[in-house]
Parts: sequence; structure tokens; C-alpha cells
Amino acid sequence: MPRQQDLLQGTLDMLILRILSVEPMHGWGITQRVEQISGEVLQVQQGSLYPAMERLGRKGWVTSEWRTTENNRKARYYSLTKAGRKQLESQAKNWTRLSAAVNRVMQEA
Amino acid sequence: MSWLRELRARVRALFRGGAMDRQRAEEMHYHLEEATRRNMDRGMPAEEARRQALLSFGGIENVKEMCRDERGTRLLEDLMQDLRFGLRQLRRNPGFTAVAALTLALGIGANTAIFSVINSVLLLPLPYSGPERLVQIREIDSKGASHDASPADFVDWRNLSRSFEGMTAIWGMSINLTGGEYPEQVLAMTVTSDFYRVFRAQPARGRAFLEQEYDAPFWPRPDRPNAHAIILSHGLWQRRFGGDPGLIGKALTIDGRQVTVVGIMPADFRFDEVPGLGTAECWIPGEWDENAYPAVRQFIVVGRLRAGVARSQAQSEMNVIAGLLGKKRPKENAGWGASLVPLQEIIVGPVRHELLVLFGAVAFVLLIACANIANLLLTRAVARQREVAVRAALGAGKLRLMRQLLTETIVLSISAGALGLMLARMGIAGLIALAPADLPRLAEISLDSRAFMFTLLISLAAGLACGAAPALRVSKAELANALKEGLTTSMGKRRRWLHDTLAVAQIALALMLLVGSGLMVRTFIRLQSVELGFNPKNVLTAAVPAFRRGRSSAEAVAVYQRLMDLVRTIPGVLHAGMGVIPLRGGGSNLFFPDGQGEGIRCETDAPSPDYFRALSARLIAGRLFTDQDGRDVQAVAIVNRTAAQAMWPGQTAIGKRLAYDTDRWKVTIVGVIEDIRMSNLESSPKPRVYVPLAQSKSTFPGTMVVQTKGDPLELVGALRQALKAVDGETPLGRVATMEELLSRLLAPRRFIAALISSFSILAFVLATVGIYGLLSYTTSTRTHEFGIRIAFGARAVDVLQLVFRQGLALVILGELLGLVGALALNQVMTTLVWGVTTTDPITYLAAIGAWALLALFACYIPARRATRADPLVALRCE
Repeated sequence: MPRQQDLLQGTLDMLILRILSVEPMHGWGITQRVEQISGEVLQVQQGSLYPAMERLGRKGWVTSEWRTTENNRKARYYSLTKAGRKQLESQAKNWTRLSAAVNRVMQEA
Repeated sequence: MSWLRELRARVRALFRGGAMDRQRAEEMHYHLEEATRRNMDRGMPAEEARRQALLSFGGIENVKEMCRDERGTRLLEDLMQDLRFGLRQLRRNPGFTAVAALTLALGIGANTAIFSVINSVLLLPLPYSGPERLVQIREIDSKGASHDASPADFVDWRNLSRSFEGMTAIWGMSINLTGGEYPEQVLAMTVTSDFYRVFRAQPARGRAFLEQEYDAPFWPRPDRPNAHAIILSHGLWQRRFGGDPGLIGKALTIDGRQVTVVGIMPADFRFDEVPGLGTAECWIPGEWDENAYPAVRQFIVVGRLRAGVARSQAQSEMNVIAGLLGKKRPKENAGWGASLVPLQEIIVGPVRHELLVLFGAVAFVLLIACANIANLLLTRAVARQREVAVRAALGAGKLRLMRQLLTETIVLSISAGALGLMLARMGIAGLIALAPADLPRLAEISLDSRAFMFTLLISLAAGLACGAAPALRVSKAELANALKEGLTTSMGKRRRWLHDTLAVAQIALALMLLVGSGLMVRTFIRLQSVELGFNPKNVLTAAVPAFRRGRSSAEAVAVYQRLMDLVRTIPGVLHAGMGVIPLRGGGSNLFFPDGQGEGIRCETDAPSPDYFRALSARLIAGRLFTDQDGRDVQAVAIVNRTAAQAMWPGQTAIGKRLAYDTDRWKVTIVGVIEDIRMSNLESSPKPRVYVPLAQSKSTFPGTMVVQTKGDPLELVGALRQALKAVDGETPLGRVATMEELLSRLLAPRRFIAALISSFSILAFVLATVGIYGLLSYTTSTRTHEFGIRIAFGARAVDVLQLVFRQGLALVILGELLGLVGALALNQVMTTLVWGVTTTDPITYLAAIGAWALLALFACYIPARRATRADPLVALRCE
């Protein structure tokens, strides 16, 4: 198994926003989805996730509501707000630019 | 507006923090269940699955805390929590809380009370519009001494200067108000035309003086106004005329003249603060010209600086003008200058130093109180080490812990401040009652918003000061050790230095206060033991202003003589005499002993025969005046001891001849009388010459002294009737008992001595309690050690010695420091003491001795307790 990586704070926020942009999701779901998609390379520490949710909520990028899950449990679902969607767009753009730049340096230097 | 959204979220979080916490907890609970389920799906047994889930989650409480951090309301939430916790802590230890709050409240209350006085007297602007531009213009002689101004100089200043919006000359004098059941003597202020412009005041009823009303000149005598119009104070209007609204336009009889009331000043126009003027109750208009009394420097000149003109500019202008006047009137003005002094400075300057010394004293009290509380808190901090350690282990940061402890003490100090404010309210009432009646702006003293702010600030400062030491200790505490050891038993040397420093500081401060109050008390005792030269018991004094326009001095003297004859017959009267009232000063003259040589300036009086008997003055040689010392017999005089010694040292004065400077009128000395204190108790008596009233040519008393069998005030009515029978136009003025006058004279010193003494007693008690508490505490932590010592054969004396050594070391060090401090500050007391030096060894020794005794006592009780340490109990503690 590859070493699991901790995420930088800003990156975690972006990933959460990205995942929520597909559909509303609860906290547990978000960690699972990140791990799955990253092929278990990235792991979200719960100690980072919930403070991040608090932060994103405070900034008004996500809202939450309590819903029933498929196996009939109550869970708190987060969804993206309009401001959150805008934020995701600008962060994704930044990320693309930044990672491309880093890649270029790594390959060509 | 993302910041707005964020702010809204934070505010919501602030009020819904609890609900948000609950939701978060539920959410995490769900998370854990899911993780557990997944682990079970992977084949783990239920127990292990849950354990792994918990492990991967990390500390639940930690995550909750981090979420709270993210909410952005941390600071406020913590504060609320700390406040709640602080209050709970204080409630849980009612004994500690009560003692600490009361200690601090006493310190804070005393400070607030004194600050209110300082604020109202020294800091607040005078109650006139634009008070900062009001200056008094004083004349400075060639030796640099400051004098009031002459009317001639005032007129020239006004004509020549450009710096002033207005300038007015004021002169206070007594006038007789007749009409009504009894005539009355009231203080009037004669003012020039700019008075109301300078003070920006207008009558509330009626009108100000008209220009032509000022034109009626005072000439030829300043004390016999020629005025036709008068403006009354609100107080006089209410008191004598019952607030009669129809009084405007009516005529009053003043010194036998008809004068029309043209206006009444507003109730809040107070004009009784300027030194040398007294409480005026009416105003009379009058102007001067440039030839008026150039040598009579007795007028108060007040100017209002023009807007934009700095005082220094005006001062330079006045310097030039003073130079001009020196050439214009070289006889009176050569070498004289003019000086501008802010009116506020004139009024409050004389008491500033005293009030600041009081402020310093009361600050010491607060410092001592703070040191007490700090020591209490420190000992409590040791007891609470476990609690603090547990908190730290649960994730509280050191800063957070310090903040919590500080919040706790600040809660305490703010509550103490509130209590102190109440104490201050009572204290101020007491202060006003105790304060000398001539303390400037006495009536203005109150607790205002500035005093509230001051209280809040010193409460906060006191809280921080008390809490700093324990809070710092937390930051250094070896928390792991605290948890391990469980109970910390004895204090190490390193830990004790802070306690000891605080105790030493307390002792030093209290000793300094004690020395200060000792000096004041000694001064007061010295003053009270001053030989007065008269007996103030059962003596009534009053003014009898029988001189007035159109009455010769012979007629006035006749009134006095008839009055004395009549008063003597009143039952209860022992002796009655006309003459200058002791402690109230008087005029002076040049005298030539044996009619030659250099003249000696002596105070002069012309008493009636019974004056000396009424005062129980002691005759040293010769005889007193009798009714036989009349107009057509030999002119005689009595001199006081100082005059006799100054004029004929080593010889008897009886039979010697003395000449007045003016007309070389010669008198023969028939008696020498013991010095009577005529102005104050501090300065040595001046030479004084008495001539009989019946023989006097230029000096006449306007006052009388009456010795009575019982309470002299009971005879006031009878005296007033007697005077009315003799002369219906002359009022009985300024009635006071001799004891009242004496008490008024001592009032300022009594005020300061009483305050500093009560502060130093308070400081003394606080510091003693502090030392006692500290020693009790350190002894109790050493019970174990003492027990072992006793088990190994130490005697009670040995243990006593151990405790005493600690206590005495503190006391000696504190006293040494206090001694150094007191000596360093002794200059502060220079103007406050009289009859003792500021380094008076008796006071210092007494203060040190008193402290040493008390300190020994404070050591003894804990030491006694230590000797009873039971070795068995001590060892079982392990």
C-alpha cells in the first residue's frame, strides 16, 4: 500500500468542495470518497475534516441539513452554496496552473 | 460581501454555540459508527472494529475543540467560559472571596474617594464658560513676591493691553444691609465694567449694570461705595428676601444709602473660590481712574484672554506695560512687574500638593491590598496545582490557563471595584464633612463619570497586578510533577521568594505611610499645644460694623461704649470687650520706642477695657486698661511680650514712651501682656501695641469678644437685641465662637492628618494580616518538617526560633527598605509639617518600633502553632 499523505489545509478545502460539487454528502462519505478516488493515497484525518467543515460553513461555501441515509440512519449532509461553487472554480483554476507549473519545473529543470 | 456573511455566521455561532456543538457530536457519532461498520465488514470482531475506528478518529474531544476554534468565536466564548468559571470559583470559596473582595474594595474605594476630590478640585475646569482663558493678573515686587493689584495699575493695564477680551478689578468688602427686622452684614464685591463679560455671566432676573452705573466712582474712599445699583446672588435673594420676584427695581438701604436692586444672578453662578475674596452675596458697580490708590495693592484683577492669544504672548505684553508704568509712577511702580496666572491655578494651586500627597498615600494602601491578594492567590495556586495540571493534561494551553486565572482575579477585582464604589460614595460624604470649609470647590466634589472610569481602570489594574504572580507561576509549573506527587507539601526556597518579596514590599510601604502619618500627627499635636495667649472656651466673637458714611469716629466709639455697657448687663455674660478677634489678623503701624531711632512695625489695636478679661489674656507686668483711661488723661498703651522684648530688651517696658510714626503721638506703656496668637499658630507672634479705645485716634476695632458663663451661642439673640437698642442701623456680623475659629484654623491640617492616619492604619492592618497569613501558610506547609524535627528531639523553643527567624528576616528587610523610602520621600512632607523635621527621629523610631511589635505578634501565633506539630501526625501524612 502506498504511503498515505496528509493534505495541506487549502488543498483539503478544495477537495471537499470538489466532492460536494457532485452531490450533497455527509462527513463520513467525504472521507470515503477522497480515499477511493485517490486510490487510498490521500487520507482525510477526521481531526482535519470537521474543523474544515466548520470553516467552510463559516465562510458560507457549504450549508448542511440532516437527512436520512439509504440504510435509514440520520446523517448531516453538506452541499455546495453558490459562493462555494464560485470558490471551487477559482481554486481549481489556480490548482491547475500551479500543478502544471510545478510539473514543468520537475520535468525540464 | 463575504466578510458580512462570515460575521453573520460568527454572531450566530456565538449564540448557538451549544446547539452547534451537539450537532457536531451527533455527526461524529455517526462517523464512528460507519467506520466501525466498515471495519466489521472487513472481518474484524466488533470490539476491535470499534477500537480501530476510535484510534483512526483521534481524540474526539480534541476534534470538537478544533471545530470550536474554527468557528471564530473562540476568544469571546473562552471569555464567557472563564467568567462563568471564575464566578463559580469565587462562589465556591466564599471566605476567600469575601476577604479578598473586601480588602481590594477598601483599597479601591479609598482611591476612588480621593480621586473624586482631586478630579473635582484640581482637574475639572472652573464652572465658568471658557474657563481656560481666565487669568488673574498679579503684581510682582522687586523681591519676586506676588501681590494683588492697585486700581491705578488696573486702569493702565486695561487701557494699554491688547491681549484681553476684558479685564475687571474686584474688591470684596462688608456692607450693612438695613431694613427688615435686623440689619445684616453681607459681603459685597465691587466690580468694574467688564466683570460680566469676563465671567460670561448674566443676571437670571433683571439686568446687568448699565455703563453709567459704573461711572459713580468709589472716590474718594474705596470702602465707601457711591453706587446706586446692586445685583444680588440667588442665595441672598432667597435667604433675606424669600425669593420675592418683585424685588427687582426696589430700593435697599445699604450703609445708609438707597440702592436699587437691578438684577439677581442665576443660582449656579458661584463666585466664592478666588482667594482673598470670600463668598460674595452681592455685586456693586464702580470704576476707577489712573490716579486711584497706586500704592493700595488689594484688588483682584481677572482678565479673559482674547481667542488665539497665548498666555505667554499676553505675558510679554504685560511685561512691556509694567516697564512703562515703572517710568510713569516711579515711586510706586519702579521695579514692579505683572504676572499672569491661570485662575484655576490661583484657586486650586494652594491645595494641590496636599491633595497629591493624599493620593500617593492612598495609592500605597491599594498596593498593599494588592500584595495581600497576590499572596493569597499564590498560596491558593499551590493548592490548585493539581487542578491546573489536570486541565493542562486535558489539552489547555499555558496561555489559556494563565488567561483563565487572570480572568478569575479580574472578576474578583471588578466586583471589589463595585463594592469600592459604594464605599467611596460613603467616603466622599465623610470627606466633605471633614474637609476644611475653605477647601476650594468643596461643593463641587462628587462621583462623576470620570471617577467611574478611574475606578474601573484601577480595578482592572489591581486585578492584573494581583493575578500576574499566580498566572506566571502556572506558566512555569512543573505540571507533570504536580500530578505525580499529588500533594505538594512544603514550599521550596525558590518558590518562596515571590511571597517574601510581596511581604517585604508591604512592610516597606506600610512603614512609609506610618512615618508620613506620624509626622502629620506630631505636627498636629505640636500645633494644638501652641500657647494661644487666650482661652477660647465660652467666648463669642462678632463684627460690629458701626462705622459708616456720615458718622464720625467719636460717634462710632460712643456706640461701642454704650454697647459694651449694655452687653455687660446681659445675664450669662462675664466680660465683653471691643477689640480685634484673635486668629483673624489686623492692621499695623510703625512705632518709635522712646520717640527715636528706627521704627519697629507693630500690629495695632484699640480695645475696650474688658477685652483682655474676655479673652483671659495673661498680664505679665503693669496693669490692664480701665474706664479711667479716657480722652483727657495721660495717653497709655499696653504692649505684648514680643514688642516689649524687641523695643527694650532686658529692661522693663513699664513707664517707657512710644511714638506713632504718623503724628509722633506719644503714649506711655502701662502694661505688658502675654502674646496672643493673632493670625495663625505656625508663625511666631508679632510685636503688638494696644491703646485704649477711648484714646485711639486712627485705629478702631470693628469686632467684639464676649466671655460667657455657658454656651456662648445661646446669647446671640440677646446680643443682637442689645445692639439694636444701641444702634438700629448696625448689624451683628460674622458671629462665631472662638473655639469655632480655632477649629477652622486647624481644619486643613486636621483633614490631612486624619486622612493619612486612617490610610496608614488601614495599610498597617492589611500588611499585618498579610504577614500573618503568609507565615501561617508557610508554617502549615512545614508541619511535616517540624514534626520530624520534634521527633528527633527539637524543643519548642527551637521550632519557635525557626518560624521567628523567617518572620523577622522579612520584617527587618521591609523596615530597612521602608526607612530608605521614607527618607527618600521626606521632601514631600516639608510643606506639610510644622514644629517637627521631616526626618524627626522620634517619629521614625516609633513607626519602626510599632511595626516590629506587631510583626512579632504576627509571627508568634503561627510559631506557637508550629511547636504543637505532632510528630505522629506529621509522619502519618507521608
